Amino acid sequence: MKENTPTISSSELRKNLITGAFAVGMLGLAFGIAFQNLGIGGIVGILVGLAVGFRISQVPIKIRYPLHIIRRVLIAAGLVGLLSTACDALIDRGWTGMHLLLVAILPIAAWAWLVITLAMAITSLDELQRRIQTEAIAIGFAGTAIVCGGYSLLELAGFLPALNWGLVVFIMVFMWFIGKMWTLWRYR
Amino acid sequence: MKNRLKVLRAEKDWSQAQLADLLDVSRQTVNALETGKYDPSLPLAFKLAALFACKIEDIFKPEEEEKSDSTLWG
Repeated sequence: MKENTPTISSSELRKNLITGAFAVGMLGLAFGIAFQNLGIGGIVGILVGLAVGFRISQVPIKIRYPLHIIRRVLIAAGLVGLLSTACDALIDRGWTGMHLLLVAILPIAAWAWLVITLAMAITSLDELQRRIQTEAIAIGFAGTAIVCGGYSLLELAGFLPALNWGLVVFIMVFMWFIGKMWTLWRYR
Repeated sequence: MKNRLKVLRAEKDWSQAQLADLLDVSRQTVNALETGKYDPSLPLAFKLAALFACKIEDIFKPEEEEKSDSTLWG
């Protein structure tokens, strides 16, 4: 029953490629700014996004999330990147008071929408897959807390240098991946 | 929890993927149920019972009961 051929129309594939490129391109832009390499961040992000869009189009329908929900997640992730980039560009304009506060919290709404779309994606799964994701998120949460807590203590003691807070997102994703592999192995 | 899902599925000559389709779950879930790695929710257990036209307790049984009832569970 496992199929490797695409089971979607060309318009669906096009939508997946566009949303994938938008999402990862914008995230690449945001991280490019954070790590002072805007061009490489944006270009690598768009290329990775195209690959992501193509990959999700190849997954057999029975074992993937509904495509419209994946696209919502990608659009929300893209908006997080876009608004983070806008926030970074506007924050040094010399604004003060309420204007500065609004600019500083600009990406929060996109983050909230991203969390909601991720929750919608998990809800669309069957009960075992939902349990696997929930356990993976729990492991990812605890793992990130341990790594960040441990790092901050070593940083306080002077053993490690101060890090960019943007790296926490990567640590969370890595820990979630470890949790996913572990729970998949348990229910294999 | 022990279950007779594999036997019942074989009697119907269904593949795991076909059973997954009928239950509207992934094949991974059917596999985890059959190997006893995952116990289903009550709605899924009722769905299975309806599909095999039997009671839930004809499909699933606690480990202790299984030991004392070797005729049915062999």
